[in-house]
Amino acid sequence: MEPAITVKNLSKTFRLPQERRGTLRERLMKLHYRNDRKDRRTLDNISFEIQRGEFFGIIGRNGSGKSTLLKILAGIYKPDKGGEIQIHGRIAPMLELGVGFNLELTGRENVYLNATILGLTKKEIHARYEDIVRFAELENFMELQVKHYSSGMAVKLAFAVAAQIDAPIMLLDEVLAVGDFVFQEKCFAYFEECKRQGKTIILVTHNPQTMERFADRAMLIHQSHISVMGDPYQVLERYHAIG
Amino acid sequence: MRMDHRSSQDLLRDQVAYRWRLFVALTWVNFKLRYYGSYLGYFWSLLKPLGLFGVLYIVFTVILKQSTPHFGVVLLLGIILWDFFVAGTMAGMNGLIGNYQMIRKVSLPRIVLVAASVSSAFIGCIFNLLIFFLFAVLDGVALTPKSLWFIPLIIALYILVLGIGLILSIIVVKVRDTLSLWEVATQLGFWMTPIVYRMSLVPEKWRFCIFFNPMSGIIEYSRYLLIGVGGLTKIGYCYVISLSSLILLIGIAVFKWKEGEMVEDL
Repeated sequence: MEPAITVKNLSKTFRLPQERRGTLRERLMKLHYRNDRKDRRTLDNISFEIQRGEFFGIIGRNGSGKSTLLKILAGIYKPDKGGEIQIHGRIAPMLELGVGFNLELTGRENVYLNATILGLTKKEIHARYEDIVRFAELENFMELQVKHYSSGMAVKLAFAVAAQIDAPIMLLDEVLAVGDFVFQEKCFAYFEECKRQGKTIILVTHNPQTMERFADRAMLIHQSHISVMGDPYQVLERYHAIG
Repeated sequence: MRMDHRSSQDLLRDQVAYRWRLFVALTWVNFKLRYYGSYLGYFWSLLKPLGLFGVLYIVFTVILKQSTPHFGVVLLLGIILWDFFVAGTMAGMNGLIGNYQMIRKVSLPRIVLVAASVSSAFIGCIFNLLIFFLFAVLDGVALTPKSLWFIPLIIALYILVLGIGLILSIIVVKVRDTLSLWEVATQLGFWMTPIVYRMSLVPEKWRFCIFFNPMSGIIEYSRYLLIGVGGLTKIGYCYVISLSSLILLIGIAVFKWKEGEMVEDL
């Protein structure tokens, strides 16, 4: 059976101009000499495969390139020429919560907007609305504007919507599991349910405990390369060694 | 680069359906946000064009003694259409930079963001036009069958604004001043378009230049079709519609060409 995701020779280079030339005045003033661009290679020739139904962990320090990798898989950034990505099946990227959340709107309005952005139809949202509210534990607050919510409440609502997205491949950032301890456990229970359903899950984490608890295989990204890939325990050892 | 196991026809249909749902949801949200927060909401937004109308009306009728029949509604229509031109292009221009949070977090058809911004301003324009029709009826203006030709004109206005909005939304990412520059340009444009005056008042030699501006045709002809003041030529009508369509096509092309690069600059 073909793997869920195949990545070959993936690289991503950001061209960072040395000076900011955001306004017309700056551009006209500096027109006479070239703005040297410094290339920053955030990902350097990455190749890996993820099998169906696998729970695959990605760990790495800040700035290692793992967020960039996720954004490329999610379709937000375009990779450099020469890289190849094959994704077999619908992929649900859940990298940040509450995309499109607007503080002026009510909880209910934000649910509809966020769910629409994530791909649900109006009918689907109607059907799942009660479940979302219950998961978020916000039964009495849905008609309140989100600007009056505590940050914990907003995050719970956003996670509750995201948890409704159903796709064979899920791209998760562990940052999603926030809130108080009880709610965190709910989030982890959700991860476990996804795993039980045989979904292919890619989870980015900073936390070794999460890796130990969930991952079948893992990968450590360090300074734009894959440092080690395979058994989660080996990956974790390397991760500690680097730190 | 990506493969899926459903047929490409299904995929296309899903894509189009998603874009439509997103477009409707964002337009509605943008519209609500424009007028949210105050009980009078929509009526406050009316204040600007009506205020401008009030001042200009007094200046031109009482002080300058304008003599065009139905001058009040003639002026009001021009102001409403021009107001959408400015509000719509500004909203479109903000389509990317105003939504950068969304763009950086999820893969979204960005053209929908710009289109939704322009469309929410357009809904406002439609409501303003209803007010206009109310005033027109009160002023004794009678609609005729040829008034239906206004519909292609208002569509042309929408696509003109959308086309310009798409282009501006890209330029503004690289040159942030464009926001202010466009404001100034529209201030000048207001006087270079026959809003407070009629085409017939423009000296012959300048008429062609003024007419080059598609808004001139849209406003002049709308006045003719809805109020019966002024004139219309078939060639001019086709020119306005074709130019607006062309600008839309250019806008879409420029947008599609450059949108990929913009994510990193936002």
